[in-house]
Amino acid sequence: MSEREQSQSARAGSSRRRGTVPTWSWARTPPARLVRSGIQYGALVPLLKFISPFTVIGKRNLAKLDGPAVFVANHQSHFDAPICLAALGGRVRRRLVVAAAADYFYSSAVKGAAASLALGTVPFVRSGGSSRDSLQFLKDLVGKGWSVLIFPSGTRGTGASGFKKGFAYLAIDAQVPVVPLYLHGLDQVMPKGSFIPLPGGVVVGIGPPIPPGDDYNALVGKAEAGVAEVRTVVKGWEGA
Amino acid sequence: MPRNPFANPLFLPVFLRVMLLIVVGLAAVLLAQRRSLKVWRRSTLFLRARTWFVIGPLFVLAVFIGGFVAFLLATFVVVQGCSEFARIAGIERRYAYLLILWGELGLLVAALARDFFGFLPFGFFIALTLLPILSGQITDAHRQVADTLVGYVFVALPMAYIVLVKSAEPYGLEFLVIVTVAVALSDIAAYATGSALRGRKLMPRVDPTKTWGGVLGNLVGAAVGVGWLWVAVPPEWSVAAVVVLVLVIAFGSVWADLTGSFIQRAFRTEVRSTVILGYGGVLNRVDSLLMAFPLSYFALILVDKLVG
Repeated sequence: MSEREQSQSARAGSSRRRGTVPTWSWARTPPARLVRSGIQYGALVPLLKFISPFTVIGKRNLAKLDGPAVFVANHQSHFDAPICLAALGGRVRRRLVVAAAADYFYSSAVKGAAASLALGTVPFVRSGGSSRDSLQFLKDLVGKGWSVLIFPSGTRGTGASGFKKGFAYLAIDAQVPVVPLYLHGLDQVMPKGSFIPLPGGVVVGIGPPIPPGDDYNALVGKAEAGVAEVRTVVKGWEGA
Repeated sequence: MPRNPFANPLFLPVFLRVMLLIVVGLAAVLLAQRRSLKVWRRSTLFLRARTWFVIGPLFVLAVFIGGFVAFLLATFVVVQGCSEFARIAGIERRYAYLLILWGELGLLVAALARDFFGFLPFGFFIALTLLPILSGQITDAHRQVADTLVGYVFVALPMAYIVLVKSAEPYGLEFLVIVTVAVALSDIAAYATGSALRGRKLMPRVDPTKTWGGVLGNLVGAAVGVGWLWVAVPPEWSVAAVVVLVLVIAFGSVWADLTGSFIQRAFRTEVRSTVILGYGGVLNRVDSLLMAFPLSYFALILVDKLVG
């Protein structure tokens, strides 16, 4: 049995044994998506443009996608996910879920419901046995045509390295490309430990999709290199 | 309350002149550069030209519509400008939030409660000094208070002046449009003539790039700007007032350049913002206006008093 088959089998088994992660499936029903679109177009995106006017570099790379993808980005701030959603545009955003730390965003029902409805987040258990259930759940969503935005470093304040393997399992098992994103400037707007943003400009770089292949470690390396490459482009950009 | 801009007979002439100015400027840059469009599209000048195509009409529309639309534009400048200054100066977040809040309060007072306008700077000083007193955090507080005060006088207070003059003076709208366009042209002409003529440096220890050729550009640009919008110059303004206005706008632009440069150097900062394509931060774009506007306003009042 290959590494990929062993991994798939183990995760499928664990999912059957531990169906403990709530899925918040109502947040992906058509009425909830309609409400989310309204919130995002009517409030979230205009507000973000006011607080953190963002410039998107490499948006043409999104045209190369013809199905779901796994978007991976460096993680600096709680603003990362909303800015990514705004930068990726309506076409991608409509069928995109954001993997959000279950222990933080889903610590209460109200917080979880608000995040699920406004941002389309799904709970992701970062450690322990349930993390496999989370991965399996995300894989099921990708199988249904949903893209996933994930911050593979797992916590804020890290650079474009130290990615955990979860996204690679997801992309390879579902055979969808990985799209590297680099966010520049959000560490100034709302760094870890801060709860009120200090407005400022942001640049979002989008790299070319990376084919999944079948080697988990290699894909992690390629994604880290992809994000680092986008960072070079962003920092070399004249306006940055 | 917002107004229909087309109801103002000045709107279309000003709007068309501003757009024509942008188109002519773009054509001039294209001719001077003589690069292929593919190369040009990647250049800073292209980003700047693109930016002008957005902010030029947006500004004219906002000031002619007035009301909350103009207020939103002023709010954006205050919020982003104060944030940028806070980053450049290394101001702590709580001081930065106070700076932004008081900047916003200043806009509201200027628009709705002018009687209290004179209290704004002193009120800010009280609020600012209360921060270290109430929090008990006095380490480095003197520097934070001083730098935040500079930010207030540099960014927030002039923006409140702009709102005050625009809403309170009978010629406020015309004055704002004329000064803004003249300042923008003054900056652009300084950049163009400075690059073309070079020549002696003005103050190399403060700003190693500013030349006397650039100063000449400032003056020519200010004169062309006021002349280009002659249609908006109120008939009550004397020739002396207009001449002084041109001189003061040019002086204000040079002063803003040098001040911006010395602030960057004084704080030894590499902080760059990305709010406006091709220009970086909001402060880069509005610092000349913020310094030239109050100066021009009081110069005009002084000339009016002297000439009668």
